[in-house]
Amino acid sequence: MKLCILGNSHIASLKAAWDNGLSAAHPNTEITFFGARRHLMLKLVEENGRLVAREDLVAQSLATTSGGATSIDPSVYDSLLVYGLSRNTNLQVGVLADGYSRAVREQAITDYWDDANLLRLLKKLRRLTDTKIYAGHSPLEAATSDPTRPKGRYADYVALSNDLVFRDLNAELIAQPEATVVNGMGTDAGFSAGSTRLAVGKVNDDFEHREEENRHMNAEFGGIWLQAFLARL
Amino acid sequence: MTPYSSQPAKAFWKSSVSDRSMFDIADLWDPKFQILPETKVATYGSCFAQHIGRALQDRGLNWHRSEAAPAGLKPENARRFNYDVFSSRTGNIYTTSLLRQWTNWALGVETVPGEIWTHGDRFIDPFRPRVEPDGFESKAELLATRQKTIESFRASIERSDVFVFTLGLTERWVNSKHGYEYPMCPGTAGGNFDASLHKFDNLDFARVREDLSHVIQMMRKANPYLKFLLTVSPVPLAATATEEHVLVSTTYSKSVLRAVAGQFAAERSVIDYFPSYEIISNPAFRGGFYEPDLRNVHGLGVDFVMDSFFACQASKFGPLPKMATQKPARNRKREDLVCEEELLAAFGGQK
Repeated sequence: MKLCILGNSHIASLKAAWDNGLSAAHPNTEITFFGARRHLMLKLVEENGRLVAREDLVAQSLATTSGGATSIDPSVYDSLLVYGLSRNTNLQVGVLADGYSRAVREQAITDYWDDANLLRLLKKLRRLTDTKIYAGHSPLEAATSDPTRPKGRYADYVALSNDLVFRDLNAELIAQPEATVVNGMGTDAGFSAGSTRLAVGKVNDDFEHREEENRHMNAEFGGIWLQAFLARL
Repeated sequence: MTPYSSQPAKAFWKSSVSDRSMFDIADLWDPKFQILPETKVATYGSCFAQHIGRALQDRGLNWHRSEAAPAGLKPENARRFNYDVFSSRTGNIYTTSLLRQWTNWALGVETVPGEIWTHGDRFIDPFRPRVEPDGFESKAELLATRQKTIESFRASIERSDVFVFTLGLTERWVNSKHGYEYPMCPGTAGGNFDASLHKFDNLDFARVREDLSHVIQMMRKANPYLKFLLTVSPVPLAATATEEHVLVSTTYSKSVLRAVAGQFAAERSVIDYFPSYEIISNPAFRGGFYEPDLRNVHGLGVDFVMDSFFACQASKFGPLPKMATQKPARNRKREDLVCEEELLAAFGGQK
């Protein structure tokens, strides 16, 4: 199976896991990563059925992460995953708290994804291919476990997002594996230790994030995420 | 020498009004207390109160919203669902008696009536009839969200430093059997009008004063440090239920409200009155801040009012710290406001 993973800095954890042993456990799977930091992937332009880098920095990022390619042809892959490119998903989960009407909840979820770069990139891909596209949001912010917080709300949130937004695009939002989630809306803080910058051909490639950084996760997290994802394909 | 000899220039009409461009009329307000970036300000009342909250926010000040919109909701949809309109999702509170009702509910003095309206298969909150544009999907949802608003209104009382209330109307509709008040006449924004049950009432000076006195006493008991800033909406009535001409009814209503607000401000150091009503409606401004319908206030008028507000604050207390002087948003569209009372105009047909 040929899998294409596109995203921003958050794909570093998936790539680290894949490059550091996970690939050996999946000999029949070939993964090509295409990444660029921040929102640079949105600068890709649709051209002759491909997403093409027109700017040097974007081209350099794609080439570094993929092993040489500066454009993406979605037709050569069996599966596509867009990963990261979203912020504060943990806060969004709070829309399922008491005191909001269903109409408000649904509008808030629709608005959130409508503004997310994740969905913008996914829609660019959708215009080029009919293949089902998978989506993984940026990790929930790191948190320490608080037993008073409700469990299960996050799963409901992902299900509702699929019902309202992703299904109509022949896409599916993949939930962060349950083993990584604490408090129903956070990532176990242990997974943020040792997270590294995405290597895009710059001097700070693979540098560790600052200790207080709580949005990027490490290779262990990436491994759990990717294994769970591959198991469902 | 007479007592007038020592009066400042602002005390004389010629020098402070008629000899000036209307845009140069200044020093209309001598604020009693300063609004600092850390001052938590709650805003409630008639539609015009919405401008105050937004102006505070535009300038980086602390508009205290105790019932915030959920994360992700776009601003235009937040307003559609009545978030970020007032400090909590009460909808318009036009009368002092309705403010008293909300205060009593929030502080546990009265229980909330069980009345709920239906529209098709949707449920309408009689006390917030337009807060959910398509109604609620169930009674349980309506009650849960209303409870959240009541708790948030209570938080506004307990956690704010300044409670801004814009007095809008004296005309109101009550349930004659149980004595509670509706924000809108049943049958206009929801529900069905029942002449045997729904009674019209036009508050007089004494009743407005008594209601406001009760509210202030209750709120200060819950939060002894709470200060009040009263304003009167300059927006005329959309319609009157009295036998008077709507223009005459407007003058009655605004006169009563203005007089009560002025009296409270004169008597209590913790209560201030900001003259937004005068800035828009006084002949000195030639009606120039109204839209062509002579009712709705043009964005330039709103900006002038709020610029006056902050200029008077700066004149008295000095300029705000830099962090709190963002450029104000200009010319907000009138459609941005949530004004249930405008619905009444629709009941006039071609009249």
